[in-house]
Amino acid sequence: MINIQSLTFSYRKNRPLFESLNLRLEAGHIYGLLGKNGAGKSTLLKQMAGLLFPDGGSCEVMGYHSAKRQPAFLREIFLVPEEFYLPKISVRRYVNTYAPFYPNFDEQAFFSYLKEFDIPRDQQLTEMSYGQKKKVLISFALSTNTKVLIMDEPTNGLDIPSKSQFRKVIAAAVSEEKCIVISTHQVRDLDNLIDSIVIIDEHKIIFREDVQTVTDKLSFKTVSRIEEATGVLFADSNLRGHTIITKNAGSEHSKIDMELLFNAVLTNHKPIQEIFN
Amino acid sequence: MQPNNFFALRRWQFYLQKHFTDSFRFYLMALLTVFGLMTAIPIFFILTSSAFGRLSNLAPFYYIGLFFGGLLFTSWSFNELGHKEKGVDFLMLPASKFEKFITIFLVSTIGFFLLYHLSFYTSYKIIDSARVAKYGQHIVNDYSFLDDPKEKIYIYYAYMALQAVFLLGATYYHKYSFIKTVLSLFIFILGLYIINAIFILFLFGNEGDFWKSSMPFVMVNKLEMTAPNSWHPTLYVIPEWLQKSYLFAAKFLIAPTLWTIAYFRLQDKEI
Repeated sequence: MINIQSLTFSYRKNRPLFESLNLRLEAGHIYGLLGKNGAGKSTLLKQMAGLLFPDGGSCEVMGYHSAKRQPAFLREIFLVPEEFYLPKISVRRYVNTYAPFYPNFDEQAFFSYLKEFDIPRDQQLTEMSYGQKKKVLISFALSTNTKVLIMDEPTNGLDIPSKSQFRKVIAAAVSEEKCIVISTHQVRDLDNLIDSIVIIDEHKIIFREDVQTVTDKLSFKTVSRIEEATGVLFADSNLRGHTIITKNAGSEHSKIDMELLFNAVLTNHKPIQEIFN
Repeated sequence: MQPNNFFALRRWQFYLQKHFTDSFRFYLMALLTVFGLMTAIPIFFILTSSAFGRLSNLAPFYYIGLFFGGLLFTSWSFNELGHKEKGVDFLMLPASKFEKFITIFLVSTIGFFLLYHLSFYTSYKIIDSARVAKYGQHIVNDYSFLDDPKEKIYIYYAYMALQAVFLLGATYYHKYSFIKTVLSLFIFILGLYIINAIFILFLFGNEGDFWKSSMPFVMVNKLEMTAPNSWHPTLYVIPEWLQKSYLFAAKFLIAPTLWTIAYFRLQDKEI
């Protein structure tokens, strides 16, 4: 669905942001694109959306060169940017104006998402808070039923109940034909939501695995004394003790701790990657 | 069904609707500003001076409004690309580049032209009524905007060429586009003048200052000293076929060429 091959890109000469970056994302998955601030997540998403053009290599989405931004491509992709624009009109008029561009737009679904987010359907967009506007945009994005849905830091500006609502509506919207890519640096926001993890660091994809494979190969535990554990790949201390990652030697099932994994991959990349190779 | 990626009438209708939803307030404010200034300033002159009562007194307002208003309005095109949020909305909307471009092109050319003339005509009627109310006389019609097409039509050709320059400028500069385009145009003309001066120096030598008294790439006025304090001017003009080519280019090629470049510039936009 999304096929990035040998992507080279730089904002300034002699300072490449991506060099020979390869990434393939398939339909039927919710990908979490994780990375620190400035890692290149937004730039990669913009490449996928065709808002930035590769200096070298290619970025193909659904078989289209994204940089061409053809209507046939644009009507099957929706980007929820971190900073977004909504015109000064009512929600109803917004739908009437924008929905005709998306052939699979589902108006009923849109209003049900709004209800889920507690947004009044007749309110003016200008009278809404940033978080409310973002929820309108997310609702609209999901209702377009585009094959590719890209969200850049969608949980920024959402309050805690809204983050939970967000996870609920995204989980309900996923289908075999859709590829959803969500970037965030707040990795906990994507707990129980994503099924594949892509970690980007220093402008490189350093980790790309699905959640099932991660829990098959790694074990996430909390121990009171770190000395009791063996083969610790990464540990983080908190009030409850120590949360650790070890190799899952006994095929035991554990719940993935996204933040722990993210920190582990960033700080102890090599031994973790060896487990997956 | 695979959509037409260049132009689809129905999709363009949706885009027009979207465009006017976004920009209606701005267009209305721009129109009211032009109309307000065009009406208020001449009325002020009429009320303060009985001599201000001929159409030729209003003509400068018309031309200033047309050029300044039109070019300022045109330089506002693609303003959304100067704002990241609006730029993403503009570029990601599923309409073709041609549909997006032609919308802005039509608004800034035909749209502005029609509404400007409607506004000027309305202003004229109001100003005339004000004069009748104050002095009991109508405005004297002593000026025809197109009485001599061979002369005044060129004002409109010049306007269209400049409009195209400012539309192209709007694809390069998204903030302070008007000022930056004026500056670029000035630098471009200065560059042409310098290149022309160099050519003339090569062709005529550096004796005398005749390179100053020339019309770039059209004519040179060479002054030769025939006797002390006596100068003989010789006018070198390009051949007639070249003059006609220049004229043809100025009338029919400059604006369409610049519009086409502006379209391709839009295609290359990144955010």
